[in-house]
Amino acid sequence: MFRLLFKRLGQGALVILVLQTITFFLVRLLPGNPFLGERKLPEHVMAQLNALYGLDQGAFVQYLNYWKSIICHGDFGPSLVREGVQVADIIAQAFPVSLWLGVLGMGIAIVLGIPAGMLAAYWRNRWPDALFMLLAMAGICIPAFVIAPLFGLTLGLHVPGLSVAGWDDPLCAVLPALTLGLINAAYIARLTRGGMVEVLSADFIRTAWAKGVRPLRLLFVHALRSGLLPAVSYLGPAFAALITGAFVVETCFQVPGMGLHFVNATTDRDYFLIQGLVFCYGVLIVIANLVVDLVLVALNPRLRSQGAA
Amino acid sequence: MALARAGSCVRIVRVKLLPAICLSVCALLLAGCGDSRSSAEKAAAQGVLIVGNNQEPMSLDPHKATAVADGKIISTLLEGLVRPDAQDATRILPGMAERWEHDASATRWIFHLRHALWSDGKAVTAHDFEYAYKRLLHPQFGGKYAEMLYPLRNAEAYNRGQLPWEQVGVRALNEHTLELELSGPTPHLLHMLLHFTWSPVPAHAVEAHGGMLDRRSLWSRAGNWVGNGAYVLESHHFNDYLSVTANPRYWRAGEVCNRGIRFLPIVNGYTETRMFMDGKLHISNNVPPELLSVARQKCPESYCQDPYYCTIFYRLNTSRPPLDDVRVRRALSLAIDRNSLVRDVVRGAGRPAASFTPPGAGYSVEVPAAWNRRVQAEQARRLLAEAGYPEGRGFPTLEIMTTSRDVQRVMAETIQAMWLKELGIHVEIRACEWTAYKAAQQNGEYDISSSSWSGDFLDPATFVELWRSGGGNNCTGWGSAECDAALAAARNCGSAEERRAHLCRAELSMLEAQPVIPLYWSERTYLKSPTVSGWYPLLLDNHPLDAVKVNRETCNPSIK
Amino acid sequence: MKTIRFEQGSSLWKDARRRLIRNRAAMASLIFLLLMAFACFVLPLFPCIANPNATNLAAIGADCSWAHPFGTDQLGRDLLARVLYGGRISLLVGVVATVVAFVIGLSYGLVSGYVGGRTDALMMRTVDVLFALPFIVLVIVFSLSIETPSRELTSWVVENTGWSRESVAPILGLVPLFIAIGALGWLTLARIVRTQTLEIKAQEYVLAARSLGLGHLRILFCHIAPNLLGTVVVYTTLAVPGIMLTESTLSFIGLGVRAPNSSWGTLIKEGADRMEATPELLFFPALFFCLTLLALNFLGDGLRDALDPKSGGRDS
Repeated sequence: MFRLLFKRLGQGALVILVLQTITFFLVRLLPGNPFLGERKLPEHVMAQLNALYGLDQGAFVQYLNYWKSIICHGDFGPSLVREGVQVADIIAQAFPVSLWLGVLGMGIAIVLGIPAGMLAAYWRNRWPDALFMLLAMAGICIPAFVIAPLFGLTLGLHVPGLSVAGWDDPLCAVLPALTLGLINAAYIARLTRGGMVEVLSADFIRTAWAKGVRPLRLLFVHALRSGLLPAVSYLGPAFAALITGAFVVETCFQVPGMGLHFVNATTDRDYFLIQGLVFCYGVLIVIANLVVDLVLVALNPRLRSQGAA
Repeated sequence: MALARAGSCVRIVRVKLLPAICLSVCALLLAGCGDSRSSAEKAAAQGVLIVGNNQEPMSLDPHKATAVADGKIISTLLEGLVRPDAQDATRILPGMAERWEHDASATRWIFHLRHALWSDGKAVTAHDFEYAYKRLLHPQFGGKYAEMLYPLRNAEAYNRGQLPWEQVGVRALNEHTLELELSGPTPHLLHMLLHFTWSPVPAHAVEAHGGMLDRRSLWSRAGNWVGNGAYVLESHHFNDYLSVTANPRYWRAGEVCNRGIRFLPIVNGYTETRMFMDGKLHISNNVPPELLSVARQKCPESYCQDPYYCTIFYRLNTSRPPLDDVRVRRALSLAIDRNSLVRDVVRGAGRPAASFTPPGAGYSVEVPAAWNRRVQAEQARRLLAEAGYPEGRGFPTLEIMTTSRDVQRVMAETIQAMWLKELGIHVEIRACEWTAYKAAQQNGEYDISSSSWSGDFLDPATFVELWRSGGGNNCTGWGSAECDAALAAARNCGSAEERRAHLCRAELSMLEAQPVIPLYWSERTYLKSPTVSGWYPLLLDNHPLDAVKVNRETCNPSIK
Repeated sequence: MKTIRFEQGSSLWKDARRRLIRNRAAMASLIFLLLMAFACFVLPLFPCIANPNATNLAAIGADCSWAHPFGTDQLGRDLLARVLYGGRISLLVGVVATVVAFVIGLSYGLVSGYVGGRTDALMMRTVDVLFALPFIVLVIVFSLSIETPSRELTSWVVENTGWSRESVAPILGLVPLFIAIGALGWLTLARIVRTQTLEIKAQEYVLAARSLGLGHLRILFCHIAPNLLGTVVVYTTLAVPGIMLTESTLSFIGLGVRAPNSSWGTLIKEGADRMEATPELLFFPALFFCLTLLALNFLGDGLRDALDPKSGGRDS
């Protein structure tokens, strides 16, 4: 188990290195630069700015300098657009917000999605199945930018305590988390149902039936393990994406999280900030996938003998 | 059969779970009901004003800031030589300068500073102003808005590293006397001084955090901040809020209305309008056209629509055929029904633009043509035919470049349809992401660009100077000796009256050649809670927020 | 009885077709989807459907009438026509990008899971890297770098085929979208397929097949792939809405279909912005969008049941 863990961590570091490299050169391919203002800068001022931030050097030299400052000083550089602010400060403020929202949203998604998927599989082709799957489909096919204002206008505006948008009160997290939760719950319910249906028709379940195992025990002990596999593989990347990629929900609810920075940094060409955010995202992805793999191994003993690598 | 039996068992489990979930949700809601007042009411009770501020500020350092949103915050934190009046945009009040005098041609100005303090207790001196101007213009600092100080004698040469600082027209004669020498007569200098680039910075604080030339300096962050304005920076949470609190060392501290202000960086106008209706802020920044009818109907007592010193227009790239032909450019302009644009696209939040500079500051351009749609369209078709494209035949496919903002896209679609109907020409629309749009516009890589320009100070020069040939913000490739000569004459003119006449001449010669198509003068549409007083329409939207008062007793602005 | 039919050569696919036809919900969905495709691709060719881009500023926000069955939008354009033309683009994006994602994802995941070992690790780390690439950065890079070639392609097609620019441009302008969305959509599928392959590979019948000396390709495509299809089809029916949603999310940040053309995504986005003032602008496109996705879902479920070799006995 520990060998697997170390191996995966090593691979994770490699993933992050590659990721940073690709992003570094990719963002510099985008048209424009971080200093473009609404009004044109005189050329000599643009040259001064490029020199000040070292952007006048060759791309490869810049790349080496970037790693040097991370490794030697632990410095992710300054924001090029919000001058006088460090990238690390921005992430330090946004990450807890996103993490909290992501945990809430994922919690809601799991609490709603897995039981719904299991029950739907259980009552396959009967009305509860149809009902749950209809709800799940609705959750999938209505875009977040419709659900968010709908929630805001119905619940936020009229239920005391809830708010349309903003982040000045702990209860402000309810509606964004609910929006994120419902969307993901729909996916999880669908995947759980698919996995469970597969398992429920497997031979070992039929054998268990025949032996008279009680239905609940059958569902939760025998079937759930392998029935959850598809949903679990979805959860890992979805969680990472939820934390950094929830920009639609963050815009609609004015949540000061990572997703908003991601979009703004890209459209503003804030090279160092994009780099820092991608770094963060990469670390999350690696951790999430590691956890998923460990859970998969735990759920399915047969994978253990395969090495699971 | 067996499956059905299993189902009933599971149902029991679910039934037990449901009430538990309901209970916990109710408990959560109850916890929130402890204080049923809206955020705006709670803030008002503490004397805090909440203002929608459009976007996250770029910087609070007046030498790095460029955005309008930055300027609004900086104006509460730093005070320049003069300050704006809350009611009358043409009136200038004394700020750090108690009084001032200038020579007959308005070229050399002397400002006498009052005895004021920075928020850390040090005195504000003329040297702080000199330090600030030197910093912004310094050739190694890269001040993005250095151009704003170019009216100072030799400022541009110093900024380009061609002359030493001693030759620039800024001199602190003593602790409390500042002399500004300009490159020409500048009767409108006081209006320019209202802009945040002319504010002082605390030299001692800047030096303590890395020195004059350190762009990564942290002096303007919360905790390090030192200012001379009505408020000092309290805290800044990115994309969440920025709060300022009253400065007890401000020279008019007794007249400051609120104990604090919170600025919310809400980019999305729909979100902002909905937040206002939920009682989350006192003054919003912008109601998008789609929500105007709802806003007018739901909160008529809060809805405001003020004139704004801003023009919405299309730039034409005159270096690309067929737009190099003035007949084509005029035809395109004549075929647009501006009344319909204002009525149908921006839903009345603007005035059809007959010329480029919005009326204001005692200036307006008389345009001879009457606005008769039929005659205009006829004339447009004739001009297009003369240019070699009768009924639009053989006209190449041009592209309108817009940003991704909804209003701009809808406007482009409307104009696209108008040109197709009146001239028989088909244009395409390219909605660009923001930085790509700026890059394409500034590099002249477009045919037609949907643009806007808002004035930096209350003077027509801020609009007309745009069209100097080779000017940085011209971007159309157009230029004419006649326009340049009129602009030069305006720059060397001490009389305000004559100066306006020169500017008018420049603008008319530009309009004749039509390198741009003025569309409309926009108006600001926003929501303001009835509990707010002391806020009056201002053409530049530069409200001195220390004079705006949020009433602590009045009822809830929310519709909840 | 079943055994007899099997001996007569009833294949997996024949059985599947039989089971699919018996599934009423799936068949109804299939018919609905065909009707929708007809409505979006053929109906607008008739003159009874208005020009979707013809603005009429005198009829802004008109109510439903015979002339405008769904009313008109913020520029007086016929909403029905816009919804139908929007459906064209949305269906195209959905189908083409999904097929791209399906093909890449399935083969990648199968190979990775089946081969295992170092190859698997390498392939999965590649997926991790691609996953971790910020989608928005990629899409902006894609759409900006492909813009010029796609414009040249449009001009070339216009010159060489004689089709009008207005009819070709909206479709060809979408090529960057197809590529960007399709090239990114296969990652999740690859992971899921790989996990399932690992699972199936460990099962007894694969071991049996291997011990019988069957070739790798044969095991992969005859024994593992068919057993995966259920999950893959379910995921794909999930992916179509996902891809159509991605397209609408792009319009949320201002990339995507070019104005004045529309897709369901852009129509829904525009409607959502105006939902307090004119809810019908949101309602009709959202209704079409949701019904189509629901039908895709039922069809997917039907296919799933039909392809599941074990479901046959229980139905009858």
